[in-house]
Amino acid sequence: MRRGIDLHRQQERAGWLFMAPTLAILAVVGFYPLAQTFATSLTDARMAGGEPTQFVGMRNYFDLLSLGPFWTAGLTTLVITAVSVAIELALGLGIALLLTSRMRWRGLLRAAILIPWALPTVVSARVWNYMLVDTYGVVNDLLVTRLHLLPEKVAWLAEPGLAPSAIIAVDVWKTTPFVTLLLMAGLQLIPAQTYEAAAVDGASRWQQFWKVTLPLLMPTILVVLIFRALDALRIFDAVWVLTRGQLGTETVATFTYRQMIDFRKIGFGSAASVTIFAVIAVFVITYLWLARAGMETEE
Amino acid sequence: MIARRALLWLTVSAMLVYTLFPFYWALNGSLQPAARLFAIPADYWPWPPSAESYRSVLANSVFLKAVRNSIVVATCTTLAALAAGSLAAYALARFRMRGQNVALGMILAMTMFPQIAVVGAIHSMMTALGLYNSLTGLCLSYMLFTLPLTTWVLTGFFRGLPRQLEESAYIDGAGPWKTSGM
Repeated sequence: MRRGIDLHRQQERAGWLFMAPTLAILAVVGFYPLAQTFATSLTDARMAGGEPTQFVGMRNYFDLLSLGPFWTAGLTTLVITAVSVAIELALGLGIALLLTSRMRWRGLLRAAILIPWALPTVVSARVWNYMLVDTYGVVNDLLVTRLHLLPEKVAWLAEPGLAPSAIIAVDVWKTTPFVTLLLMAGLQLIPAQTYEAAAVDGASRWQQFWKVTLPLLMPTILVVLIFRALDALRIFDAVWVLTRGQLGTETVATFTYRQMIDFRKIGFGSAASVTIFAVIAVFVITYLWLARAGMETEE
Repeated sequence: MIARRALLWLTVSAMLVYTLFPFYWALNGSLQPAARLFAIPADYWPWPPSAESYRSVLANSVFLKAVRNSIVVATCTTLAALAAGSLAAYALARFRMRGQNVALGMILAMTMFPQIAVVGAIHSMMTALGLYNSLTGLCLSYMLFTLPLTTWVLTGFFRGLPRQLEESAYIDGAGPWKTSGM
């Protein structure tokens, strides 16, 4: 017994030593900057300004919340998130079902659909930009000149009504592979016997999907939903490359960047950052709470 | 049956076109001579192929330096994340310690907050440390994204390894350091 306690103490001491490098690095590049951002959000700091910085309390937050463009950016971000995550989930589920069914060239197809996920967003957004340009873009060329599906060329990235959908299209193209990958992993966890039992009971393919696949896949869908929503709420690079946040595509991330870098208002931008952080934290806590509730009902 | 197969392959083809066409278009663009890049109507087949773009990009010293920088940053980030992350993951997976779950949760929380929330502060920190515009600074800030993920993935991996070997080492009187192979 004495030895057991001893080992425990040794493990405890060694454990924290093992974790020390990771915790130290994360403290330097994670916790410290986050605390710094919070502290800065209470001041009127400006980037590269010679003026002394003053403590202004919550004023940046009041200014932020009374600023129309911030709310507009927030709404745009929510709409982009909701629409793109919904499409990604529907498409991803379809593709995942297709690629877990028995078919020829399944391995090759799985590899092929993952390619967009591997490319950095800045690069793929550039390619899409080149494809979507109204005059020489290939999308217009295909839809108008070759296939005659549209009467005239469309300015996909220059019309306020269309620019957000172009960003959604690029986001869907880029992240559907990720959703598909996670859903395929979830589908493989469903035992084949469940389907066999359902088939013996006379359930059609359609019924099997609604009564077996979907309920058993729910935990995976929930994880995907949260991960994607967290990512989409922070969307920056696709927007920045495609429209620079013009034409109704300003998201909270581009808004914050503009305040900090373009307008050099570090204090105000930090307040915007902290606000986004708070919103995302609410999402994370809700998720953890849901996950725990889910685990308890299982037990 | 035939109709169903046709529908299946039609869906698969549509999926592949949507997924792969942008890559084809980038490849097509890279092989077109500069004058044909903005042709109306668009040119779908780069024939005869032109090496013009490849020649100019490979002769561009800024591009070559960027490639070298990327390789250096990727290598040192990966190595550092593996070194620190595997140690932490081993402790999290194998040792019984108080506050373990809190530590794991905090590491995960690192991946969840928006990067925009820390860029400003990282920028001023790097400037203060004299690391602004240096590869070391870049490696260090990348640790914020790679280290939590590395630790999480490796924790799962270590938990999956058989315990018996370590248990017999403990029984034989080895301490946690010796057992982990440090």
